[in-house]
Amino acid sequence: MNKKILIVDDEPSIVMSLEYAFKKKDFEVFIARDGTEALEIAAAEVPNVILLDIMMPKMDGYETLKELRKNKVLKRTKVIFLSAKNKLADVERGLKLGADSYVTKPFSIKKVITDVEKMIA
Amino acid sequence: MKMKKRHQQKLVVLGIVLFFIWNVPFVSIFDGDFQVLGFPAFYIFIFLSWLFSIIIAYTILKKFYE
Amino acid sequence: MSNYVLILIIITYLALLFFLAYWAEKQHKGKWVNNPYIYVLSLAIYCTAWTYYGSVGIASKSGISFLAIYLGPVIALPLWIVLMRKIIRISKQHKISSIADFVSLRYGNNRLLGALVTLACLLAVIPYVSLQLKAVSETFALVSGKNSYVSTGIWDDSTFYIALLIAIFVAFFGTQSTDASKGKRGIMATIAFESVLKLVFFLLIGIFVVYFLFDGTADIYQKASRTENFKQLSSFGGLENGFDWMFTICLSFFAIFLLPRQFHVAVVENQDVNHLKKAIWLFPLYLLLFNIFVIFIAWAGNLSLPATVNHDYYSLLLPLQQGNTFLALLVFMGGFSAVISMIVVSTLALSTMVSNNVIIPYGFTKKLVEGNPEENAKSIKTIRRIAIFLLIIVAYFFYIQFSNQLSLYSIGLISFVIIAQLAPSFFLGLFWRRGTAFAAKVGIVIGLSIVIYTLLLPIVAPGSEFMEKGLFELWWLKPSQLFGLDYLTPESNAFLWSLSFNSLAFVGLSLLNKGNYRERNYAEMFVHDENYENLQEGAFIWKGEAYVADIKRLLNRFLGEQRTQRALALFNKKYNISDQEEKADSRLINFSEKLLTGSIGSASAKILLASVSKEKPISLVEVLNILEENKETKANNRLLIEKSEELSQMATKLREANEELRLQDKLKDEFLDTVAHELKTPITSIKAASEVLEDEDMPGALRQQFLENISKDTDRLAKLIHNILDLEKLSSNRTELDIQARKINATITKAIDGIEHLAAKRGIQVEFGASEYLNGLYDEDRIIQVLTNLLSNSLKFTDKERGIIKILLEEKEEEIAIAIEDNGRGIPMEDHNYIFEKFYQSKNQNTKKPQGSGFGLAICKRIVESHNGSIWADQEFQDGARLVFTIPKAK
Repeated sequence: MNKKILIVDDEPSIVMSLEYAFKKKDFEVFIARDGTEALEIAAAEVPNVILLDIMMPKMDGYETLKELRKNKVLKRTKVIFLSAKNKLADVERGLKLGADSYVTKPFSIKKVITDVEKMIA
Repeated sequence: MKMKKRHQQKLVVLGIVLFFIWNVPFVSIFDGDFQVLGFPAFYIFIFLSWLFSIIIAYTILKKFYE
Repeated sequence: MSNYVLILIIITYLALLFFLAYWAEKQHKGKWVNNPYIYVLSLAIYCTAWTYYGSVGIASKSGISFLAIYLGPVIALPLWIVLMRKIIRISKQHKISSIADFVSLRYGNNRLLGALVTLACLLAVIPYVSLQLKAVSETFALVSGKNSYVSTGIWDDSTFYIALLIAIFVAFFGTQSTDASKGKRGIMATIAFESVLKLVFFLLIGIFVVYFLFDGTADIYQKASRTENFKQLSSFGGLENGFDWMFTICLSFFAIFLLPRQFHVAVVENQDVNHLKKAIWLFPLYLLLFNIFVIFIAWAGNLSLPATVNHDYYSLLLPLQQGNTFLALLVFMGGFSAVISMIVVSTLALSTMVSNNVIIPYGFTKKLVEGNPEENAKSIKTIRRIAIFLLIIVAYFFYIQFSNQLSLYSIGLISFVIIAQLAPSFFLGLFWRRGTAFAAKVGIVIGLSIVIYTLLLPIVAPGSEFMEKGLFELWWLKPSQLFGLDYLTPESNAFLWSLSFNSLAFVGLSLLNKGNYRERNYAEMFVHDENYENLQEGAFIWKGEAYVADIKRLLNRFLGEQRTQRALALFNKKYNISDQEEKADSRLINFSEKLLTGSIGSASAKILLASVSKEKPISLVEVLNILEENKETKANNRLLIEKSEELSQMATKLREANEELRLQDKLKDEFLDTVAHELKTPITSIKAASEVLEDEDMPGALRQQFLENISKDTDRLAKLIHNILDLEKLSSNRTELDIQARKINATITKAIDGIEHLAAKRGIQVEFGASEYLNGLYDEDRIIQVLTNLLSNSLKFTDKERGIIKILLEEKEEEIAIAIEDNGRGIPMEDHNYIFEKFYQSKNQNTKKPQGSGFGLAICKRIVESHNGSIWADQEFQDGARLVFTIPKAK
């Protein structure tokens, strides 16, 4: 089975590292710079997992998630928030909106990969 | 609307001054023989001081009665 | 002119007055009826037929003395600012409806004193009213052409009917409400109207005489100066005249306060104390206008008319002699107006006094206590109406009996002398607490007796033996020359002695005997009225037993159930008293007394309340102590209120400060969040890259790329930290600036060079027209920092390929303004005030990616301010953002 992952972040250097790590683990990696781009790619490719940054230009992570959940096909797609916002209120808000996990920056790539693999196992 | 005591006293003084200048001995100073426009000296004095007192009272009230 | 035509004109005129009164009564709140001018004009009721005709008579016979009658009021009016204000305030406070009420209330609500004052007023006013009737009847005869008018009986005397019509007018409009302290707008409107008429017509005749019959004032003077005794008419005369002159001034000074009609228009009918502001200067002006032409009419009459005619009526006879009946008619109507208004107000005031101070307290209280409200209102009105008719009829008979032997002037002066007897108790009572009721009564009685002996007896019994030789043949008891003073006129003589003994008795007896506690209580309230205004009902001390139910029943009889209910409800609310309370306290007694005073006078009110309560006498000391206590409590209450107001103000300020702090706190939190986020991003990136680099299979080029990323992010971190520290240093003024005179153009160019490649990459145009080489005083590195910051903001907020950034310079007097404009998305209105705050980030950036770290502009602001300049965003600029800052110019 081909594992598809969509990474959404506007910080190119972070994206680069994640892309390299997941490719190593045989994921098919897609990249979006902001929310709108992410919705387009997600609709076209239907990834298994989406890594979603919250603070982004144009459309932020919360809104993107809301839009994703409106799509029937993407309803069950696993979504992990990656964010520097580490207050409890932010985490709760993210999970309430229907995210499957919330990872605070700075994060360990190894741990993210383990989480993702567990999620789609 | 009211007026300060100090300004009220100006009007009181005006009244007192009028009483004095309109009585002997003051008033007899103006009991002369000359006339202006047919008004004898005595009447000129009374009428002018009368008019003057009206103007003073008006000014005081206009300025200080608020 | 025919008799009947004249009567028709008079009736038409009276009908007009009725209509005017009716109209004014209807719109009693309107500004036409309720203004200071009506008040001033109603004061002009002072000018009666005496002024209108009598002045001319005096001026033509004896000279200057007519003027003294007006100088008294002119002296008095400026004093009104203190005196009349006080009188009006007290009267409104106690619902006083006449001068008798005023005097009797001041001396502890003394019934006998009220009656005595009423008696004095009757003595003074009835002859005065008859004087008016005399003027009407004589002028009527002159205008209608009957030169020798002899009435053969009452029924064919037109004066009688005119008097009756006036009585009906007063009875109708003067007794609309039983509460006599309530204004009678209708009557006041007609008075004001008539005051205008009489002045205008008198000025008309003056102008006619001076400019049509003669060639101006100087011409009359020239001609008159050749007549004999002209010197006497036009000058002051000897020192002895000075006394008569001064006494007359004093008489008229008292009269303007004390005459019942003057008290009525000036105090009872006063709608607003502030009307005094106009009255104090306007009323003397009115009097001045009335007096300007008097001497010329008098001299003209002396020149053109035979010596046999009545000098008083020169102003009628002069136009009649020229055949100008119309003008004579106007003059007659002017005089008639003066008469009517005087009679109307005098009888109105007197009838109230007679009913409230004599009839009701001396005989009607019992009947009134038993009656129901409608009956009571009716009987009070009936009493007043009967009094009105009686007064006018008595005046009419007085006129029939005595008018032939007296001139207008002498009757008027007699009135003044009589009314002056109230002066000691009235004026001293206002300022001297010691004055007592007993002393006031004795003073007035002595004064009146002397007036009767010296002034009235010679009229009633002329030519009798003691007139010539003195009572018991004692030369010093000769009525007209008491104590042998032979150079005074009879009026001055009477005034001097009556007032001297009156005052002496009043002051002496007041000092000898203390008044009782009640007198002292009211004395306090009158003398220190400004202290007790706040205390209101609390200023009245009363001890005893009374039941609310009894008082209520009493009030019901006069006010009716509805009004009583309403008044008591208000009272209970004001003093926070339960309506279940059974016992009445002093405040309720005083409150009810005031309520009743308007209807039945203060003396009757006191008697009635005494009938339903058991009063216990208290000592004077006690009264004064309680008064003092009440005053203190009141003052303390006021202090408490002030303090609590201060406290609540402080609380508001604290709340505001707190809010401010909380906002600052919130901004700080947000700032820290942003800083944390900004710091975490490069750290995350570095951490991720180093984790990935652990993979040994990574191709070399890629590894190189990751290492470069790490290096870039480290730089970013370093810069961020530098900025934070920089801002902190600038905020605490720890930076040293290298300020020198430099060319601003060069500095700007350097800043543009710094961002040029970035702008080129985004396809954004940067324009700077350096036309002038301006020199500024600044630290170049810091200003470049500001410029770079502003320029990078503009770069960030403008669209790729379409953006244009302009830098503009403007030279001002002391400084240079530098503006950076772009055509980007601009600054939202709500952010304008905050963008330079160091913790501020635009609201809508909250979860979206923040543009910049949030303190670039804060740093700019610190830098500019440390150069004594300022920085702001131009709110009027519409097409994008325009940020402007100033730096000092080099000299």
